[in-house]
Amino acid sequence: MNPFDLIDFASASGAIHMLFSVPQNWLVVIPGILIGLLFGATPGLQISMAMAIFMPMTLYMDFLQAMLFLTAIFTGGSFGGGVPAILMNIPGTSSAIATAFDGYPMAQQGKHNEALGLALAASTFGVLFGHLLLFMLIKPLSTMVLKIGPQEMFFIILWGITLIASLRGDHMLKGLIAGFVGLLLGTIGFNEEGTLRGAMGSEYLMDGIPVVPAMMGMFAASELFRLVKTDYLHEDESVRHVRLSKIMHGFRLAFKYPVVLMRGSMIGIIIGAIPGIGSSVSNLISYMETKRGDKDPSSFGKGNPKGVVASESANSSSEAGSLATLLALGIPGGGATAVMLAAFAMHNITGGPQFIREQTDVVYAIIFANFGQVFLLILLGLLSLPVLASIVKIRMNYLIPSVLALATLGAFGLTGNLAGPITVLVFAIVGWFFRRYDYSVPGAVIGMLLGRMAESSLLHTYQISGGKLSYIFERPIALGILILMLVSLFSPILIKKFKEYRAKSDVLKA
Amino acid sequence: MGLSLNKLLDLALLMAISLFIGWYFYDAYRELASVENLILIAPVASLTLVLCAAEFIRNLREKELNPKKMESIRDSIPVMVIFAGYILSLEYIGFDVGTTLFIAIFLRLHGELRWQWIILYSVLFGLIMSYFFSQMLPYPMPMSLFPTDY
Repeated sequence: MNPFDLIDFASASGAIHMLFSVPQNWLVVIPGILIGLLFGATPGLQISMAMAIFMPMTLYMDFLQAMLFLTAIFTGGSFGGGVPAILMNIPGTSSAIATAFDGYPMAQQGKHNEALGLALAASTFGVLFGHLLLFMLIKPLSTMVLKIGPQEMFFIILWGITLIASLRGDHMLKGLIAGFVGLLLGTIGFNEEGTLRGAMGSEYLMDGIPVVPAMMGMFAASELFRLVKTDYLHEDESVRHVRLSKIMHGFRLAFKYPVVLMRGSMIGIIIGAIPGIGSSVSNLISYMETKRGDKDPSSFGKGNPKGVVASESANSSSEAGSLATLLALGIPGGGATAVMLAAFAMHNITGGPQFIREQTDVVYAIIFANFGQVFLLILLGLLSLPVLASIVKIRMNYLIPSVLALATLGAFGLTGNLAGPITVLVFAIVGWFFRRYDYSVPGAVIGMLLGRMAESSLLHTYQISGGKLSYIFERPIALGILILMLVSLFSPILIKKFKEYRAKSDVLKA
Repeated sequence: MGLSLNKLLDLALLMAISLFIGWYFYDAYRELASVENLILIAPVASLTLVLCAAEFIRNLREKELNPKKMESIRDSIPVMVIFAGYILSLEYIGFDVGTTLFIAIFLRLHGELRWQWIILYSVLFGLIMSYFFSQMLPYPMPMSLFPTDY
């Protein structure tokens, strides 16, 4: 197949025109990257939190601008999270956990500038490579997903929720419960047939629970309740000295490991595209794979630059992977894309094959904008590093009430009445309990977002099949997804049992 | 068998989830007992109730949780109470006064002893942010010092 057949050149040219004929579109990218850098660099504040809090601002933007703003936050946050991981061994976000493994030992050796340069280079490469691949594959992907009907969609939604649950390890049951409770919460209000369920007589619940304020409560406020006893993130003076020349040296150093960069980016895209996984897992897998394949695995964890490159390239390219799932199927791959899905809904856009086919130029424009964001990230990343390094000195007793107040104001902005702030409060408390007792918060949020879609997919399947269960067996893709779902649900249990059996037999042999 | 407070709260949360699911299923059924209305709710609610029962049994059999792994309830509950007070008072005192008071009270209760800092930061943040949102949003906000049409 000619690789040029993969690209719709007319739409690509339309996308370029769309991006550059309206320069205002780029105005939102700079604050977006800065917000992402700031939130990513502040431990305890997640990228999804930043996106949820600032989403009300997208009400005043058109769809493309809103997407540029939100993806810019994601791009900035994916690098920002690495800053405190390197400087203080505190990952700014869950997607930078593996960055701390070697980044912090490098900082302890006085190489924190080089480590920051490595992280910046790997992040920008990850974003660029990931979106380049997305640009090449989005058209065939949209053709492929045309074969997906309501039944397949329903199974994909269920698969996404079971995947999140299966990642909970010892708490798989709680993960599943959280996902299913989310699904049920998502169906509150009027259904397609005009029946009102679970509204408790409140007119505010007739259209369902306001999802974005609920998301703000679950992701942001509940996490801030947990951090209340954290005083300072770090006070060490030595972590504040940032030298541009040394950062640039680290930046160049990253390209001496092209295999690590490419492998990390590929892992990021693949893992990012699987619903419910995303960058929190991809950085760890990339790190482990790099360590496993290295000639000197014992040097990892002691300041090996390849560890930083592996982690940062994977967490940054995950954005493209999760964006592929969001655009092609309308299913969020993780917390950040869940917020993007809510932004889709706010602008009356439904992701999926039809959206890709009919608005290919918009899709390409989103991808191209990410190419531009790479260069802005390099520039803004370099300029903001001295400031970012000092964020960790802000006292949490100032940060927590300020972010909570912003979330409250933002929630009012979304609903136009006090239902928004009250939803933040209710779901902040629910989220706090869920986190405390190991229920999956992303599972519940994604379930809530997809509840309505799951119900209408199931209803349409019922109407098409005439209620015949055998219809499942006439749909090979649906059957395949169902099998994948069962495998992802039961494989962790089977693997655990197998390991226990092996360990027992080894003991008996000994 | 003695159960720790954490374990009891864990089980209570599970019970609360089960009760909510049971109530929601009943409410939907009472509203309209048709296939179209219950096509997702009935199977998902039933399955979740089964999972809750399985988790309840698993949880009772499991060893006690390690309390060191969890943040203290005593630390988080006061923040929830202040936050709830802030949100529920907005209707009456508005975002400008409410946000200023919320930040000032939070700072005072969480170790900030310099009154001049508390006043300066809470007043600046509360008033500037509330005013900014009241000007930006297309609908009136409850405010006291900068009244709108709310």
